[in-house]
Amino acid sequence: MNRQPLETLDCKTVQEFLIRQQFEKLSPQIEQEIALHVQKCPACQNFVHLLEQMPDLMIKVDQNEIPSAKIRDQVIREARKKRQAAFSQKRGVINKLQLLFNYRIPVYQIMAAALIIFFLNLFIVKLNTLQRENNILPAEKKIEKPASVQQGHTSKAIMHLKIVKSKKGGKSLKQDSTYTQFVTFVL
Amino acid sequence: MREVTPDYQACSDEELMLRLKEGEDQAFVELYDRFHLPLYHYFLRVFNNDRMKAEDLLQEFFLKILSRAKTFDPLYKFRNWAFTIAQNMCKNEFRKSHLFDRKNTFSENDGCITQPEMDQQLDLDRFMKALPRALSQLNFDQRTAFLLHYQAGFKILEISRIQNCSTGTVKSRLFYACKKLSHLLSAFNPISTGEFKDE
Repeated sequence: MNRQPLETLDCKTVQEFLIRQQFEKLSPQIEQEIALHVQKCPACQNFVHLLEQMPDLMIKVDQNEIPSAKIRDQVIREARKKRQAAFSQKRGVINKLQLLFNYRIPVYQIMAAALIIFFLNLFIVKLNTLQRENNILPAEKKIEKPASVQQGHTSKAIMHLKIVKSKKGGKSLKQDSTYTQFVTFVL
Repeated sequence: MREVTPDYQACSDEELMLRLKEGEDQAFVELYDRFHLPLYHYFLRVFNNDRMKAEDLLQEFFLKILSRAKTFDPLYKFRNWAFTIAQNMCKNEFRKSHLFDRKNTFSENDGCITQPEMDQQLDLDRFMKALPRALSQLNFDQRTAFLLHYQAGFKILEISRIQNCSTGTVKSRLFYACKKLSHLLSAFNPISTGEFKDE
């Protein structure tokens, strides 16, 4: 083993081992030799004491150091500002829409809206009926008797019957009816 | 119905962070009250007792925590997370001020007490004054490793995660920090350890 014997171990080497001993495991032989040296050497005993006391000494060194009281208020104030700024930034289009949907509508407003829809519906139905009556003639059959057909020859006349569909503007009855149904259904 | 306010003092640090994530301001205040002193002391010792800088960094640190609250993983210890942020802030600040390679702002002999008449009893008052000065003689990595271990009470493995290095490196840093401190504070020890060689 390439190591100094116990008798020649100086304090410097022992103290290096003592530091190392704090963070890693030394061989039992070295530990024993160091222990023997420390037993005899008051300087190394003091050094061991210093190392053991270091965390407590650090606490004692720091105990009178306190940041100024205003720092706490400043930090809390700044934190609130920052949080508010972040919150207002977060309110994008989606958040605005969310807010819109989350808006709580009072009951009387819903009732008023229902009444308006009901009357509007009645009005539209009535309006459609009037339009149908005024503008649209139902499909009708007009029997025109050809000049060649003599009176009394009903069977021949029937053969030459013309079915004439006439309209006086407006939409067809079928379309109007669908439209009305659709509007009524939606409302 | 009245809402029940949670007892923040009974909450763990990690619970407080979760509450902070949910937007509870009181959780932030509680975290400040718990951690402002250890962090202030850490900043103070890293920056050679510069109180102004320590206070600025303390303020900046808590605002940073607020903005990074969402990135906090509750499986990770808040204390470790906080000191990792603090360590990175110190590193950046050192780089900014070009102090990274400079070991101290004190003169070389400021940290040492060389009166030969010192006896074996630890002179606490003198030691209190000498220790911060001696700390300022260490380089950044050694100093932060030393402070994290002896001041903040972190274990070697935790320091290696905070400093983002191996446990071997942390041990080495601590060894050289202690060795240098023992040299600088040799006046408290009647037998000087002689010449000191840095890592």
